Amino acid sequence: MSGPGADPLTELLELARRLLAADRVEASLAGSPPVVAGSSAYDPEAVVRVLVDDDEGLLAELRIYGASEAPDRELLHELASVAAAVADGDRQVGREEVWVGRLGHDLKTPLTAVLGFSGLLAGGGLAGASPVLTAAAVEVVETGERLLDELEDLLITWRRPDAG
Amino acid sequence: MTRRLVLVVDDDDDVREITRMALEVVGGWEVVTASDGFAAIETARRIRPDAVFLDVMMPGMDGPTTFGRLQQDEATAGLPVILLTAKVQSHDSKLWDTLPIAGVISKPFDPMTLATTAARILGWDD
Repeated sequence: MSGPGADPLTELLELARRLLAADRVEASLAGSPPVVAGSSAYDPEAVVRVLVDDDEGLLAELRIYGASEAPDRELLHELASVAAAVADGDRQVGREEVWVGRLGHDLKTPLTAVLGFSGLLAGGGLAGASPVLTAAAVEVVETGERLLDELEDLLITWRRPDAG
Repeated sequence: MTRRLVLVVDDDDDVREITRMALEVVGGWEVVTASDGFAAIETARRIRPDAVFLDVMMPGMDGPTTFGRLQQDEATAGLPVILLTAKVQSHDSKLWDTLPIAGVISKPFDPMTLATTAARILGWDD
């Protein structure tokens, strides 16, 4: 557990890790979390969910599977209260991080296809491609990689608001 | 390289296709695909692949949840899973570090080296 006065998000992640270490949890954390929507009652056949949500949709979710024993309720309460503290103190930062994360995902997904198909062609992975086509594919790969570098730089800058 | 049977799961048609081609054409593996977590679980039960390539961010059931279901199912528990993700944030990677997955590969990936990278992660030396 983090020491007193630790960053609430760090505490939240620390708790999530403790739950994960207990081997009862699937975790999917989409970003810095604003609000705890609630956790359902324990059901060994179902999933106990600690949802972190706001008006714009689900931002983070911890799923604690029943397995053979009940989840640590005390730990769950602790998790919920820390998440609430994050919500109070860090809502705007959370939104921005989630937005940046989604933007990165949404731009990298089509880039994966562009760099993938052109990379396969440029690398000689497709039999029968002409030299002209292969050379053109090399250009597409180089341009795509430049675009990816620019995107990574932008994402890093946006994730560190004090970086200017 | 021994002919392996792998399952590729991604909700994006183009990414699913290029992943399939990279593993099939370059890697020489047999590839079956699924477009969501539910289909992935059903397919994995049916074909018993040697490994699963699982997209993280999918509508309906995300990658980590699908992984959890695969682990809970006797028929698919212990299947090696590689997460493929276009969204590596520090929070995410810290959480994935604690999941018993075989490894994580970032998107975009190099299609010419994807199979060898995955083979190394999976400990497939042949």
